[in-house]
Order: sequence, then structure tokens, then C-alpha cells
Amino acid sequence: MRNDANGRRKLLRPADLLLAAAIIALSVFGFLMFRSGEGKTAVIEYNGKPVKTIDLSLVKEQYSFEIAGDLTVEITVSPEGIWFSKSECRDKLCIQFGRLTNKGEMAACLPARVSVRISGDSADKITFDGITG
Amino acid sequence: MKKTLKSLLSSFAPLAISAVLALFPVLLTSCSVKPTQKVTFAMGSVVSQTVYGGDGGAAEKANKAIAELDGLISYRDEDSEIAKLNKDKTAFLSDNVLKLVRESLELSSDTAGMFDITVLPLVKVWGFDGDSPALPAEEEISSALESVGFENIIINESSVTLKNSAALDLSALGKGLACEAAVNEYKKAGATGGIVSVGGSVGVYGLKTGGKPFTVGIRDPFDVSSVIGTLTITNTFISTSGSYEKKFEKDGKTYHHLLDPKTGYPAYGGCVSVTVVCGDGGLSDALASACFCLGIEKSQTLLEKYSAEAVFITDGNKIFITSGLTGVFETPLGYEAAYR
Repeated sequence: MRNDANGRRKLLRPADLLLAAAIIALSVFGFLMFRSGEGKTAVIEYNGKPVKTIDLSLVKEQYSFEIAGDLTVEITVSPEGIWFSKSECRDKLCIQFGRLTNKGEMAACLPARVSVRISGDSADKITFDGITG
Repeated sequence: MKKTLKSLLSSFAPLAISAVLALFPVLLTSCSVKPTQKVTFAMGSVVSQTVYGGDGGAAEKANKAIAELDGLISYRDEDSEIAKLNKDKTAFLSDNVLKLVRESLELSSDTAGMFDITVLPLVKVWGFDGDSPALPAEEEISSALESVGFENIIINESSVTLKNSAALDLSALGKGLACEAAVNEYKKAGATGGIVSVGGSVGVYGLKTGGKPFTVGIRDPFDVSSVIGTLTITNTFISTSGSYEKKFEKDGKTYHHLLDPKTGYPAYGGCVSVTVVCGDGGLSDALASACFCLGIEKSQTLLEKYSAEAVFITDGNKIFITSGLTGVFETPLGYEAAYR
């Protein structure tokens, strides 16, 4: 502990302030790393109930799998995203949704009652919270 | 003693400050509200919800409210008030359903019959109520048209009578109404924000994490896997009617599901997609259908009357927006002002 020019005790020395600044910097860095490191998780649901979840950050190669809903659909996953690749439905609208890549995006096959969404809050991403049309 | 305490405090101050700072990331993370996300199926559509805050049960309650609404107005549900009216041709309706019929009649009158909740016989002969739409014979269309016309609906206090074998179909406003029912549940549950989409209709309420409004994409009618523009918006309802939604081709010609109640054939107002933004969910849906049939110029008075805004996408891929959406609608493709 040090005294200032008037003999008063100082609570914080310059070294303490430096330490505090370093901790703030590290904390903010850690927070940003934590946020950006949040994986995108694809949730596949049948009739509103989850049947499969996939951490997209762990996907190294593209692969496909089938989900037997009211009709059978094929879903393909790659490191970049997830999409309906085949469906027994008549209009194939689910396939036309294309590849989902951002948090908050969703596609569904109504006749099969199967949906795919990338879970998470899209508040900090430039993406869509919903789509009309 | 006092001196010792002060000395101790002074010694531990840097440590205490460091501890608080070390907790900074944890505090920041815990401040962001994790939304509840739910995807279900109702009204022949996908229902997608994201709700922020509240008691955690808002999305489930919204699903119940949508199911209840469907049970009241679906012509397919034989126990619904509308199905019973269609069957018996006269019925007493509950206040809520009667209000919808009255509002629909007013809109029919405003659009000189281009919006009409008696189009069900036409929809059926085209097969747009099922999975296999097909071009009907001219005689079938003429026959169906005999039952079409909002003047066939007679309201006498709380009873409604249908003339000329007319039948009602409220699906032109149903999905917008469903969004409104969901948003009402978010409010009741104390949610801080929420977005619901039912088919092509969307309801937005409050704000999402970080106090931001919602971004709603408008599907590109020429490439349904992408969006043509976005609306950054909250506390309103958005609905789109497009000729790309349900359609089929026959002899090189495309036929879509938005039927002109006057001709019996698919309506043409020069647009392939019309998106309407309105503070009333049912109206946003109904106005989208009406404006699609009317086209840009004839829609202006209608939009003004209902304090609604719109994005029109023409068959030439030009985008027109009403003035209230300036700064709300964004697209990399550029747009022009609609007439208002």
C-alpha cells in the first residue's frame, strides 16, 4: 500500500489498474470467443418432437440419412448446412427450401410432418427470424 | 481496529475487483435470454414459433389457441361452426366467428367481390383443396360460379343463411388469424418478444434478445429457396399471397390457386407475389389475397382504408412498395414506390 503526496493511502496502485485492465481485456476476449464458438445445432423433428440433433461444427463430410415421418424424407448434412434432399411428397416444396446455414432458419415437409431447423438465437446474426410467402 | 479493517480492505481491493471482472463474461452470457423454439403442424401448414422470455409455456399455449381457432372456422372439420353452416345452410354463429364473417363481407364489398369467402365450390372443382389440382371443364366452372358471390350470405342478428348452395371458406384469413391468436398468448404469458409463422403468414411481437426487432424475409417468387428482400419490423402481422404457392401446368400454361370469383379462373393483377403488413392478423392475410387479385393500382385505396402497407412483386420481377415501408423493407434488387 502506498501513500499519495498528501499522505493519504491509495486503494489502487498503478500496477493494480494495469492488472484490472488486463482482466477486462481477457474477459471481453473470452466472452467473444465463447459466443463465436457456439455451435450450430440442427434439430430434426417429427410432428413437433425432436428425433435427431446434429452439431454442425462436428460434421466433417457430407452425408445423408432418412427420416420416416408420415412419408419418408432424406436429409443431407454438410459442414456448411443441412437440407431436405429427397422426399416422397408430391410437391417437393421441402427440397425447394434449399440449404439451411444460419441459426433460426427452418424448413419443413408438411405431408411428412418432418421439420429441420438450426437452433439458437439469431439476434447477433444477419439472418431471418421468419419468412413470409 | 478500524485501522486494521481499512488496511485489510485496501489489501484485498484489487483481488475483489479482479474477481468481479472475471465474472464479467458469465454475467454477460446470463443476460441473454434463450428463446423457446417450436415447430408443429396445424391448419394444413407448418407452425414455427420462437418466443423470448415469459413463463416458458407460451408456444404450447399458442398451439392450443391455433387448434381451437381451426376447430371453429375450418370447413374441413365437420364439428366447426363453418362446416355446420355449410351443411345446413343456416346456423347461429358465435360472436367471434360472426365478426369474421361480417369483416369478410365488408372486404368483399370494398373489393367489388374480388375477395370472396364463398369461393369454396370453385376451389373444389379446381382441386386446390386437395393434392391433385387439375383444369376443370368450362361447364364445371360455370356451375360452381352459380354458388359463388358474397351476396349469397344473409346475416340476421347472430344467424347466417347461405343462398344458392353457397359454402364458406375462411382460409383466406385463417393463417393470419392464427398468428394473431399466437401473439395474444405471448402477451398473456408475459413474453418479451416472439415470432410465429403459420404457412405464409407471420406475426411479430416485442423484441428479441438485445432489444432488436425481427427480420422477416419475403420469399423470392422466382426462386422459393431464397428471399427477395427483408422487413425489419415488430408488433404487426405480415402475410403473402403468391401464384407460386399452389400451381400446376397444363399444355404449357400455369394455373395457380388464387381464383378470380368473377371469372372462375386464376386471377391476374400483374403480380406474382403480394406481401401485406397490417396491425390485424386476419386482415393482413385477407388483404394479401385481395391485393394479389386487384393488382397494384386498385389496391391503393384498400390498403389506405385498413392502414396497411404492401410489397408488390410483378411478373416482370419489379418490386413496388407503399410509402410506409420505406426504411423497413430492404432488398439488393432495388424497388420503386407504389402509387400511394
